[in-house]
Amino acid sequence: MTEFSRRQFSAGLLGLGAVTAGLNLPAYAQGKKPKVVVIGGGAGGATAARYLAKDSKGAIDVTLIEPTKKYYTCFFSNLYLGGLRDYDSIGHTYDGLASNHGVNVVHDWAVGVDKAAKTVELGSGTKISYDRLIISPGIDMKYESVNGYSIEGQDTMPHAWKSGTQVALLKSQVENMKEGGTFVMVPPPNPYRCPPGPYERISMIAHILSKKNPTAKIIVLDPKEKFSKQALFQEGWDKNYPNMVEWIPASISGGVKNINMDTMEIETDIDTFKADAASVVPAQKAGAICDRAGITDGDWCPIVPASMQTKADPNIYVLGDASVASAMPKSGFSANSQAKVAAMAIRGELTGSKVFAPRFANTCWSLIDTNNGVKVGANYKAGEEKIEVVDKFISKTGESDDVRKTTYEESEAWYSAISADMFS
Amino acid sequence: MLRNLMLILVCAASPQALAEGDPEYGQYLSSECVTCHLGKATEGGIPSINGYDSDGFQQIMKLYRSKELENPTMQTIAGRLTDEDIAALAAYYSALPQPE
Repeated sequence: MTEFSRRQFSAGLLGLGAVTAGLNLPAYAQGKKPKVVVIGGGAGGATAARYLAKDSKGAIDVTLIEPTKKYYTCFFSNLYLGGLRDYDSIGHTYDGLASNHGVNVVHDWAVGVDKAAKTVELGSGTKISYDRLIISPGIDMKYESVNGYSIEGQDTMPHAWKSGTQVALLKSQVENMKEGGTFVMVPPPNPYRCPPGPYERISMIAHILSKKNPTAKIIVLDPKEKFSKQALFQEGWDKNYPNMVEWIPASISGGVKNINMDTMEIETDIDTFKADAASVVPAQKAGAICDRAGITDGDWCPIVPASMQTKADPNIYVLGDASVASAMPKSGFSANSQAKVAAMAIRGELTGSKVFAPRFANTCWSLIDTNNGVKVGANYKAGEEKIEVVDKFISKTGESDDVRKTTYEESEAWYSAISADMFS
Repeated sequence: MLRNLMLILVCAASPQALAEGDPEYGQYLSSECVTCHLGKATEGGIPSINGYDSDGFQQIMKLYRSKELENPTMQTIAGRLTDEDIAALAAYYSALPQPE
């Protein structure tokens, strides 16, 4: 239904004629302070809340709903795992968003969305009304995608795919492996959060083991036939961790058939692997609130490329991992970029501010070994149906040590900058 | 290093003045920059670009765009910027105070 016909429909229903057309005016034109609620305080949600509050200069009432008081970033959690970063250094509070920009930060779970009433229900039972809603919940695990794996087993073979304490647990398990033991990594099938992440994790675990347990082995049982930055990672493993990492695609192993959490055995067609420590990352889907809000199509949320507005409801926007962003990978950088596009679109709708053509970008840095960084990235535009690549780049195999060190230093600087862009 | 490069470029610049850009548009475009470029002084990695001289900024971005300066990330970012985009970014960033 077009905007014009919807107005006619509303007016006809109420029997008040054309004078009620004002009911459909944007909030700013009615003199009310518009409300935006943001669900999820990660790279998408925190950035969106910050930009909405900062750029509207108080003209929009922004509420951020996030259950945790301290947010540990997924990006750089592998560097903590590899002993190259402190745990505290990847943790951030929401104090800056509240004190610098006046964002109302509510530490609670969003458990439901009433699209008709335009309210979000919290775990406490409170309902918060919105004019526009941004949902940026990240991922949930499809534990059942790996036979024998379960939510109860996530501490035995941590997926550690949402940062925080699971990564600390995995680090401890790797460091306490017996001498010459076997670590098994089961990466997820596409699409999933952080495409190079499993392979950076393997690199960082190899980094630890090469120092503390050099006769240990790493077996990678991949459901995929290829992966992000594959040539770069495989070159790095051969050069820096010779004979330690064995990557086995599903065409050779037949895929993981079953996992026995009690015996730590992982069964495939070619062998049953006995792990001394393991990380199993199952298939993924949009955070559960997306299903509850009725904005998913299958596992993910389709969006309008120009604004990140969900196709299911014009008042709801979806950011980051939960969205179907087509060519853009599910990364913190992507979510941050999408958040700025959505914040600009929403501000334009609610306050009449200028809306420029949307632009998206992403870069994913990965660390192979100390001072050995690689990167892949692209910029994107909003096509009619999909977000499309404009141009892209990737590090090259055989780069000099200087180039790799510079790339690593870039990633460190990026971490400081994006953290400030989300939380300061 | 980049700041030194900028000074060299400014000294070597052709006498014709570069365009004046729209700072409001530049502020919008800068939201792509701030994901990596911190507003305060940094050690290595990625420099702060706050307070850059406008002409030097524009020349550097055009050298990235033509791939005469290395760094694939910056080449890709600059690759889709028009002269107007670059002038707007330069107008915005040159008006910001330099980091201490």
